[in-house]
Amino acid sequence: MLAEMQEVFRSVFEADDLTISRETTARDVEGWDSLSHVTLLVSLEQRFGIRFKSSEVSDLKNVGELLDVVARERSRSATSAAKP
Amino acid sequence: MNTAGPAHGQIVDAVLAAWPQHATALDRAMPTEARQRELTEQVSAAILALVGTQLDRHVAGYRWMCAMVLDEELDFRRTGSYRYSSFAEVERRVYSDPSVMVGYMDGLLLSQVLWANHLDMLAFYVDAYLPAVGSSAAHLEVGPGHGLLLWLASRTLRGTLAGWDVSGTSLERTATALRTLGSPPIDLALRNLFDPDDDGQRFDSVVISEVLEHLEQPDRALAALHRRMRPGALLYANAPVNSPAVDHIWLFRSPEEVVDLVASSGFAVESTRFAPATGLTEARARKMRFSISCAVVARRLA
Repeated sequence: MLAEMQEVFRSVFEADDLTISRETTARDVEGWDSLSHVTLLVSLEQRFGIRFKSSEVSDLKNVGELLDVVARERSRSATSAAKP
Repeated sequence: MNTAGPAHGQIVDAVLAAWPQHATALDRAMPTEARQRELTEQVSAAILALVGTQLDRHVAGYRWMCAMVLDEELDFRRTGSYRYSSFAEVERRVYSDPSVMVGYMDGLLLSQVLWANHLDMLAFYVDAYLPAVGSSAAHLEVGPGHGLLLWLASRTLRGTLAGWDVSGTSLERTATALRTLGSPPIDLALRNLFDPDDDGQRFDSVVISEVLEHLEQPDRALAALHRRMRPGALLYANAPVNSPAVDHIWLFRSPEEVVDLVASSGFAVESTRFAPATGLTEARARKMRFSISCAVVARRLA
């Protein structure tokens, strides 16, 4: 999932050689501010078929926390889809 | 953090004490140019006078407002439009809820010295618009809200000063603010722009700042203002582009839409100022459809 997320990051920040890890923070990525953060979130929603709640994505410390939220939402979406 | 002065520092420190994660955003909004720093500190001192012992409450409102903006930004990026398109919806969901309104108004007040685009607009208003208004002008602000712009006008203009609003609650807040700041008498009236013009009042200077985006028909508002302005009178219109908020109805998609609206309403545009959201260049804000504050100074055509 990190690799997939990295593709989204590269697209949003227009940086083909950008490499992210769980420890990556906004300070490490040029142009990652509060507004590009929103674009990133919506791009991740589209890529992973999820929908974030603003409360869970407003004060994330690093990519690792964002990855955990994506994984949680993806699991929640899969569970909802599987219910009869 | 390189704050503009002690008053500005006090507000910034209060925000960071409650919300340390906001440090990067605040740092990016710090004014660097001397004149902006001076104005930021003056307005910060005025804001501290207005909040009194309630700075923590205002900080909570500011944090609430930022979370609301994030919510609305997410929705805007998903749908390409503002969430609500009618005044009735906003009235029902926002304006009629006092608990929402207090936090919102508190947050908006602090944002005047914490958001780069708001600071930029204040500087343009004080340094470009007010000096162009004759000192004896009959001046009107529509939707004066926190009262800061009327207070700033009262420091340089010596003619009659007026403020109109459709909300009695909002007018009370404006009146309290102006009293606290020691402004000279200002005629605050519960008036709707679209009421029949039966008093013959005419103005030489009209300000409509961060109001047009709250209206279903901003063109009608400008037409109504045009009727109440003398030929040659000055207009200051400030509206944001691509700026989702819980009570924004009319979506301006580019600065040119704001300018063209003013020009098509019987005004000759004299100057403009575009200020992107904190940390952005105008070019990037345009490309990514991020928020840009747009101020237009225009003269009423005969």
